[in-house]
Amino acid sequence: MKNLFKYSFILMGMLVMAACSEDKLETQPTDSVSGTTLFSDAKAAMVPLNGLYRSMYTSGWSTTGNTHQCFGISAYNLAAEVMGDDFIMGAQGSGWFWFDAAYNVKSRFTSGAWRSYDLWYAHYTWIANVNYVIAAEETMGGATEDKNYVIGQAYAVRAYSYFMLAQWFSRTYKGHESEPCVPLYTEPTFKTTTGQPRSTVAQVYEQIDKDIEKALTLLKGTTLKNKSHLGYATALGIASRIALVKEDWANAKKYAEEAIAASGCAVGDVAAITGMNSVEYNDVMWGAKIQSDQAGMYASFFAHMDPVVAYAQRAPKQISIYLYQKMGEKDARRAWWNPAENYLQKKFSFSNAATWEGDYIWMRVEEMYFNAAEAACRLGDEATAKKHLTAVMSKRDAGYKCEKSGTALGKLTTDDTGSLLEEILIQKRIELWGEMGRTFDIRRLKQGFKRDSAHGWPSGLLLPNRPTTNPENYMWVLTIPQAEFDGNENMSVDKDQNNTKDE
Amino acid sequence: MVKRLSLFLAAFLFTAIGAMAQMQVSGTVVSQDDGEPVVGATVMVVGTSVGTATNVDGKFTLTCPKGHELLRITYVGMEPIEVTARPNMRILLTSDKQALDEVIVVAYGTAKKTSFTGSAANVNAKDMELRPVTSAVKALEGNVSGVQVTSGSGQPGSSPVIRVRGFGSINASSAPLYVVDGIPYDGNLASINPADIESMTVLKDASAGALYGARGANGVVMITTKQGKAGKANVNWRSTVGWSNRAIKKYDHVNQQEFVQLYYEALRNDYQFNQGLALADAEAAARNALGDELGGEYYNPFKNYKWNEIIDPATGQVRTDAQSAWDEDWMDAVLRKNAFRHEHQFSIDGGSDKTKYMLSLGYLNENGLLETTSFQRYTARTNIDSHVTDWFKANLSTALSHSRSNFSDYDGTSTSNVWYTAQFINPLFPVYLKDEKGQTMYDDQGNILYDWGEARPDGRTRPGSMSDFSSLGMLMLDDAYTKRDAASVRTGVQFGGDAPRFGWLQGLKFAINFGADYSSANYMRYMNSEHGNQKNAGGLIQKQNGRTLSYTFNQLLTWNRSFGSHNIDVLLGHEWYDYTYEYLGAGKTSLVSGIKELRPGTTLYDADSYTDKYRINSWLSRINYNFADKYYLTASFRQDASSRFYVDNNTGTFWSIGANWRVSNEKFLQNVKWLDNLSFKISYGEQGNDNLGTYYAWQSLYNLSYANGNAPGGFVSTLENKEVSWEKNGNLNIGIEGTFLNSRLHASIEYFNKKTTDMLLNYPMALSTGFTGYSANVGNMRNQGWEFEVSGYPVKTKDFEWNVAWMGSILNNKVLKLTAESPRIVSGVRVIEEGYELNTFLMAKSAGVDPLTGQQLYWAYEKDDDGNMKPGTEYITSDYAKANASKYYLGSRIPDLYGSLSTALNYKNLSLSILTTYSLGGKIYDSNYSAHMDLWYNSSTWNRAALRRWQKPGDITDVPRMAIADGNQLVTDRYLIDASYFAIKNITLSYMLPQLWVKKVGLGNVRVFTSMDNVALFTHLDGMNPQYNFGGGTDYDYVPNKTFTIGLEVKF
Repeated sequence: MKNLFKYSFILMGMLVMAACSEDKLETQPTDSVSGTTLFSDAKAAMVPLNGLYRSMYTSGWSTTGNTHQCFGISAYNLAAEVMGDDFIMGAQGSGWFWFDAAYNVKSRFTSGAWRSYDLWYAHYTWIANVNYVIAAEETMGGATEDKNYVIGQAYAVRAYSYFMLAQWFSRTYKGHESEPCVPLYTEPTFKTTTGQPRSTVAQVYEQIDKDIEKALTLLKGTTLKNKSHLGYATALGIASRIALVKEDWANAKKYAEEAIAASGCAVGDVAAITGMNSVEYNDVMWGAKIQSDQAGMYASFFAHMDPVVAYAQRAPKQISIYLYQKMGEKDARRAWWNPAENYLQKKFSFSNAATWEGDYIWMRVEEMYFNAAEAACRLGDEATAKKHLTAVMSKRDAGYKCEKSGTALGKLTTDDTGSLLEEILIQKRIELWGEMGRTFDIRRLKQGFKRDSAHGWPSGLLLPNRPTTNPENYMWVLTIPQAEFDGNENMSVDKDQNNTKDE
Repeated sequence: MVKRLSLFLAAFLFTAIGAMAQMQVSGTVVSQDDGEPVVGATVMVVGTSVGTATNVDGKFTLTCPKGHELLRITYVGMEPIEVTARPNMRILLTSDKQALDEVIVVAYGTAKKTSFTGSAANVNAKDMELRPVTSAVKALEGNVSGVQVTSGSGQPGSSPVIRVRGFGSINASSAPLYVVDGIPYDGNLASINPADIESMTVLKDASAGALYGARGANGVVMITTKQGKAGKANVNWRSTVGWSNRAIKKYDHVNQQEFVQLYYEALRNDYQFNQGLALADAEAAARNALGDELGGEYYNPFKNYKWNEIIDPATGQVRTDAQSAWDEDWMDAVLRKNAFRHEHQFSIDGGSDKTKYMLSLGYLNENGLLETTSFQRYTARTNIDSHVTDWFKANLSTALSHSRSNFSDYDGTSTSNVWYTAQFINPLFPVYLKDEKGQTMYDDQGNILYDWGEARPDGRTRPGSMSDFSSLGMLMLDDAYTKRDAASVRTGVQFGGDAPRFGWLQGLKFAINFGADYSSANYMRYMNSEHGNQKNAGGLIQKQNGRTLSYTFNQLLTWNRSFGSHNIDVLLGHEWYDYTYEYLGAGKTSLVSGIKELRPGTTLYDADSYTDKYRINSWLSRINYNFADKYYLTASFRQDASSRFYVDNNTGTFWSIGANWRVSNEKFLQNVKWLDNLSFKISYGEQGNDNLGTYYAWQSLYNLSYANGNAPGGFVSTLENKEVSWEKNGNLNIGIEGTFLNSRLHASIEYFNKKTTDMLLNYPMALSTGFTGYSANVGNMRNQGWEFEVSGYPVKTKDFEWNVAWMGSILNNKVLKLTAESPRIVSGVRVIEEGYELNTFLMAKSAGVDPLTGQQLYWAYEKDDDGNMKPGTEYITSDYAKANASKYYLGSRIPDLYGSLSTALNYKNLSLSILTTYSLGGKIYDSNYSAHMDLWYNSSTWNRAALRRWQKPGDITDVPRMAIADGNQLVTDRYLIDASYFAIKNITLSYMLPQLWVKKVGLGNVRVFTSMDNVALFTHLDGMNPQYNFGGGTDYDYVPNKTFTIGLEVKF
């Protein structure tokens, strides 16, 4: 009996001790970290910034399905490319990007797996991520240059994201300034955040301008630490793209020329850059290095481009014969396509197909020369325009000479006028084929286009009964995903959805 | 359990107490049923506290005080008997008439079924021991009402999914809690050898389950393993061998000629209706296009006609004299016939009345239906239980298990999945490579060559999306396995006893229990470098290891005393639960052929590790009170603090109250001879569900798997909501249970009403905030229903016994509240919507086929301002956009009534049992069927139902004209199939060899038996698995198997 008591008391003691472990109830994950710890100083804030850039070339997070055609910036550029007039998908293959090319995605806005959802959610996620960074602007510690580098990039990413959203979800800036664009958020998101109504195109571009100017102010004088980062030169490049869409030729020229100077890049030799798979090339201003354990494998740009492996085997990517024939006989870029294989592309390939490696390139200095050339041409400064044009073309075709003049453009992209402006644009189309998102230019230039089987288009993509020749059409204005209306009290599908029809 | 308890009581109560000797008596207690001695029966001198227990031979000796000569002998499950003491007595005990009054294992203790205030159902070893089930959970189907079970995959070693009384949640888990020998179990269910299981109890209501607090809301499955029995050692050997085949028929597909016919029509229709050609031109164009579409002449099995000649222009039909050079079924090529299975069980149990032990060993080797898939399991268990003194007992049980599961790693909708490709492949495609004459090709060594679909001499590849693919080849060249090692320990000590000598401490007990489950799952996946997905990368290998260690440590103080007719039983306890999961995985590409290790790989594909922790601190309490075995009251209470929630909101309280009125024990019913027992019960309580799917639901987190090259990166993944907490489940249960006619008839009926409140949902945010939503407790849902069981013995004689049982369950589910922003969550053709059943089908309704054009017609309607149908506005249209806006609510998978019918016949040594299950009502959207009526790819085939298609103007049919990838066609109710089914789940026949024979060779019992699982299934559509899931879907998944076994059991 004594033992019974004794043991009981010992055990009662254990009971109380076991109860004294309340603090063990606060568990933390090891694969994630709480946001509050990340913004204390500028060095720590590089973690969310780098994570953001990683998401720009990573699939799987932005949609509930179809992830093999949703892998960030390169996927969006490619989608805009297949929607245009120069870049041909020779066959449906496994179907990726085919529905974009066939303008058959707008009706799928209720799904979380299609382009509307993907683009909308991806860009707004980037905006939400940088809004947290921007909100920490006042409280963040660290050296001024480090802080400027972090905060400046955050503004640049926000400008870029709104700029892309505006181009995908509304008609082009000029002439549509008062039309509805996308909702604006400049504060960090909390669970109490309410959905905003659509702002107008003018309001959105106002925000974009504010952000990119702030970014340029902060980034000036900082050193680029990684080519995936939106540093000073790249932000200038984005600024020149924005200015082109706004038809603000003076700024477009200024920013493009400053970008060339600030980038320290030089026009690449065709032989050196063929493959387009290394950010180490001297002409690359912005791009992501892809290392093998971070590669998307099938869900990657080169899986859709490189005709030797993966999806591109059954969905070959070809250049329009119309555009191909615009190249001079001695143009070194002829090596980028093979007329003997239906003009199959050779421009893009894995750097190492076995490891799925191949860097993504999002901005090359050549584009800046073309932007500057176009802007100068629009401003009537044809000498400067030709100077910039020749800066690129002399590396493409030693004998290149341009005697053209004027700014006339055809109603359709295949209506030739012989103007200098047209020449600049044609050379830009050839140079940046497959990488620039061709429809963005078609739309801002307010041209129509026509796909022709004589140019190599397969019957499934001819769009015979669609209003592609009308630059004011709504075919290329995406629908807003249903999930937005489901969670946004200030937007309703009846009042705020884009025109679901072609016109 | 109670047997042990009574033994324990008997042992200490009466042996120690001495003398005042007056008359020495001795005797043997024997069971009348089998003549075997009854070990541990209590023998008491009436009117005194003198008593003893029988020993291992059933013998006892005691001394009667003067004037007391009446002995009362009691034993659990036996009718108590009173006899006058005399020397050398032989006392026969007969089975208790209340044998149906089973003792069941409940939360932190045991309970008698008739007096239990809650709802629990039980499956005993004898109901499953002869069945060829690898996972014991399969044995719940049909044996327990109110439990729904999926068929589970046919992959050997997989476990089915179960739901208890409906669906408790939308975003959190609806799975029950598994408790093994009193301790929550986190291991793999297939690691437990079913032969080691004594019973499984499903706790269905709050009175039964509220003591499991934050984890009890979806029901609790209590698994109790076998314990030793006092007496001489029992040795038991059981071996079975068996063979498996598919339990579900194949989908009925078109043959080669029919395929070509339908394909030709699809092309013709495209030319005619979509491209505007005249009929004759369309026909000619279709004939000419066949070759290009179907892969050229190498893929033409009809060697006497070229593709462009195969259709007779005169009739528009495939030529009847077309001779096929091959017709190879891809599914047959990858399936094993009569997949072999063998299983061996060995156990010893025995002990004294103080210490008992049980040892068991088990081995199972099971081949899957699919080539290369298999499961092997080794298990060992020891259970030891000792009553050291009359106030101290201790127990220890350990279980070890190792298993290896070889499986095909391609499943679900993946196009590489053999259940998709092999089952639904275009019938023209050969399994083995063919030359231009259609002859099978071999390599130099004479090995047969697979057709991978790669380019043939004419430069063409296999048409469709499956390039470089062979179902059989992938199975043979790739590899995937999971090896699991599991170790479990359950140990405890208890102080205190019920002897009067303990004075005020009488009935007070203090127990400490510790239970831990360790398991390690080692996963390997290898994709070959010669063909398929990873050819380009030179092969891929991934190795992953998941280590789980969980333990529960509790301290329980109990006190039970009787004061006259008042019986009180109080429990007070504390419990700590701790779970740690550690993951480590890596992958590499560019391998050295034949070496399935990471080391030789050159390129890192992936490397990752992380740790998850989960802890619960709990206080618990229960009071049972019973008055004169007539009125029972139970109240329980548990407070849980869970690490899943923010520290200020991590504590929740759960409780229940229940009552049982055993009306048959009332005086006014004492003389009703036909009534053995009748009880009414009612309970209500609140339980919780903290299984939100993540351990960190409340936190705002940056996902750290976003490194940017060499720089660490975090990407915001969740929004903070400190308020997020348990789902609560208010659970009402009302039941009547009766036993009649000398236990010949047993019936029970129960009503339940479970309301989930604060249901976890993804509270939708505007997508433009960068988040889809955040976890919040906002929804409500109700599950209510009825369960009944009737069982009885139409015939019961000495030699012949016939038992029949019928169980039925009715479940009504309704989503009561979602978020204000979105009262409807759409997921494909299903919606979760306020006012409707969970996963209600919402889709377009077919209105047949236009006889003129063969187009699909739909019902459509006009809508009022709220988006509802305006009455009387329905019309028929072929405009799919209008139909898409006019969807109909078309019911859900939830059946009207489901349950089982079973029977058992025992004639002398022969027993036969048959278990059948049924389910009436509900619907399944068979996407497998739909995908093979409306083809997306020319590499898949049509269901034979497509032969009813529209062919020419005037045809009246329900199947539209043929088309490939007709994106303008909507999913309609054509593919909603009645989910009702009837299944013969198991037939077992066993024969006990006559004692006369076996005694001669020195054995105790020898039994031979045969058992068939999944014998037959009757459904509304061949090929469809009606029990694939609870949402009413189908997928390209491992088909369940039917197994035929024969076995031998020897005991001595």
